[in-house]
Amino acid sequence: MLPLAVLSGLVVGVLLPATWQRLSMAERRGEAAVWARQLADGLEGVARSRPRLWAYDTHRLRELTAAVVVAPVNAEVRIDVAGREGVFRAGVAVADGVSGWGAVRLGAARVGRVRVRLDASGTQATAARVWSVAALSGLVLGAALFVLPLATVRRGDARDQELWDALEGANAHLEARVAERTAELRQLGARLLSVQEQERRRISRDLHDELGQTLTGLRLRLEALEAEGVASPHLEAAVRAIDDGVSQVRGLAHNLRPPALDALGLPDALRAHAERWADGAGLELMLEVEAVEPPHEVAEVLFRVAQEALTNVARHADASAVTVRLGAADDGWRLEVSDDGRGLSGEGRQGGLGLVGARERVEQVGGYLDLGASDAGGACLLAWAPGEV
Amino acid sequence: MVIWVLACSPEAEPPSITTPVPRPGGVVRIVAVSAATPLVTRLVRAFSSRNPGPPLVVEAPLGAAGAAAALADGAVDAVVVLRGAEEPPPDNGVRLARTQPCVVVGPAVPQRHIGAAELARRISDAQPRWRDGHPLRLLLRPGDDPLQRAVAGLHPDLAAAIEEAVGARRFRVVSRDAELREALRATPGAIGVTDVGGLRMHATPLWRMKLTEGRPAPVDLWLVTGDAPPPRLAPFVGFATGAQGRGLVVDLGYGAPP
Repeated sequence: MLPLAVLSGLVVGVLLPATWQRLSMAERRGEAAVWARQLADGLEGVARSRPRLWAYDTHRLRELTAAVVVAPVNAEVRIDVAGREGVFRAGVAVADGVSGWGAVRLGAARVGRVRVRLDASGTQATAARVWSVAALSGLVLGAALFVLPLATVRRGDARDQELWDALEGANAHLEARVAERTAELRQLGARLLSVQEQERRRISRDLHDELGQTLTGLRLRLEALEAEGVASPHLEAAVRAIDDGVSQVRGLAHNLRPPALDALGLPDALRAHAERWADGAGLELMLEVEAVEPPHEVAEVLFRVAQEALTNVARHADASAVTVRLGAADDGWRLEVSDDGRGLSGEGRQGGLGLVGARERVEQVGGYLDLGASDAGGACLLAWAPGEV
Repeated sequence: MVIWVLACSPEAEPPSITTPVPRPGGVVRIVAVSAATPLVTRLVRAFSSRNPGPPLVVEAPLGAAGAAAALADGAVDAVVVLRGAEEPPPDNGVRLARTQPCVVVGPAVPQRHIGAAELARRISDAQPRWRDGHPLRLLLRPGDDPLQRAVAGLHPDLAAAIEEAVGARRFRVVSRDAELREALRATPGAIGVTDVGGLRMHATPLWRMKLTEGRPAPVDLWLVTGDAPPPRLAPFVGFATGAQGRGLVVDLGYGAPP
């Protein structure tokens, strides 16, 4: 606003009166020039009739001057000839005026010149008044252009602030709702995990206790039949089938709920699972497991994450060695599974369903899961869960 | 600075002037104010008829200021001007004649005498009138004219009235003596100033007013030359100031200089 106000003030307060004054003076000067030329034309007639003495014929010059420079105009007429400036003067002395000139020609020669000086004091006085009024108007206009838009801008700013405040309030409310929903979802997820784990534990126990006992009892009866002398190839096949079934039931029960997790705690369960997994996969295993005791739900999450990570290594990493680290860190527990395989470029290593589920499990207990590159050039999975260590 | 340039438009440049028209040699040129031109012409003619030689030419009259300027610039060799008898003599001047300023009116004006104070009062009126109610029209000479100045010197009120009339341009100003006489004759109710010598010489049908409060101071006709007048001028001066010249001056109605 300030530049516009200053510019407008200058235009109205300075440029306009200056232009007016210049035009007025130019108009007055043009008027003087016209009179001077008219007088010079008349003087040329005198010069033709008296080539040597025309400039001294005060009678005719006075008449001519009076005829051209008509009263009541305040004008000063001066005629110059070679060697004498002001050989003739008429009119009133003009101190503050503008001049116009005319040349007195006699043939090709300029034998004299006439100057008509018109009084411009009236124009100057009017110009002074115009300057005063224009300067005042410029100041008022500049101030108005500065103050009025400023007030409007301030009102607009206040309205914008109100809108921003309302928007921020609504945003905070929405964020609070989102946080609330997220917490509810997290609780629900944790509850689901808990229920899932309980259900797994029950199914595992039922499989082990009920179906396993039933199959074991059935095998004992078949062994009793063999002891009584019943011999049949079908009997032997049935015994082998029951042994396979018992083995499958035990595997299912173990996978559903590792008994070591409840019996030994996370470090030993993790160590046992990793060693068994390494034996099966034929990979070199390095274990760095601290004796930590996270809560059950955290232990289950970290164990499942380790299971998924090792499964992923076996399926996609094409690795020769695996390192598993478990320990306390940053007000929580930290699990790291890294390999020397082909890294994250391997097929299915960045976002498979298993990893997605693992991430959800970790986030449901308030932690996070990162997947990056290991120092050995393979992949590295890092899971962290919060809690009091 | 910009504003100053905007506000001040430049003055026009004056045109240049070439050299003056060359003056032909061998001719003595005399110029006189209009009131003296007829007398000077008669003197030059009388001198030339008796003294053959390079011609003396009397130029058409110039105003007193113009004549002085022409002499100073060397445009003429001598000038004849009027000067009050009480005024100091001009440099390089010789008295040719003396004349008496007078107030004259046209033939239609019935009034034949007037006092200076009354004249001052009448011409000061917004609508000047004669005693019989007819309009009074004052015909003025240029402001610096010695004849008019001499008449104005009769009374302070008259001097003030004439000065006011000249300044306010309330009356017509006639520069040349011949034109003034013709204007006085032709304008009803006109009144103006001339001199007795000129009045007698031209026999114009004008009435000389009798001034009841004294006579104006006389005015002398002076022949003025430059510092180095041409040789031909000296015999003319001798003639004009000699017995023949003075006799002619008196015959023409002027007074001989003291």
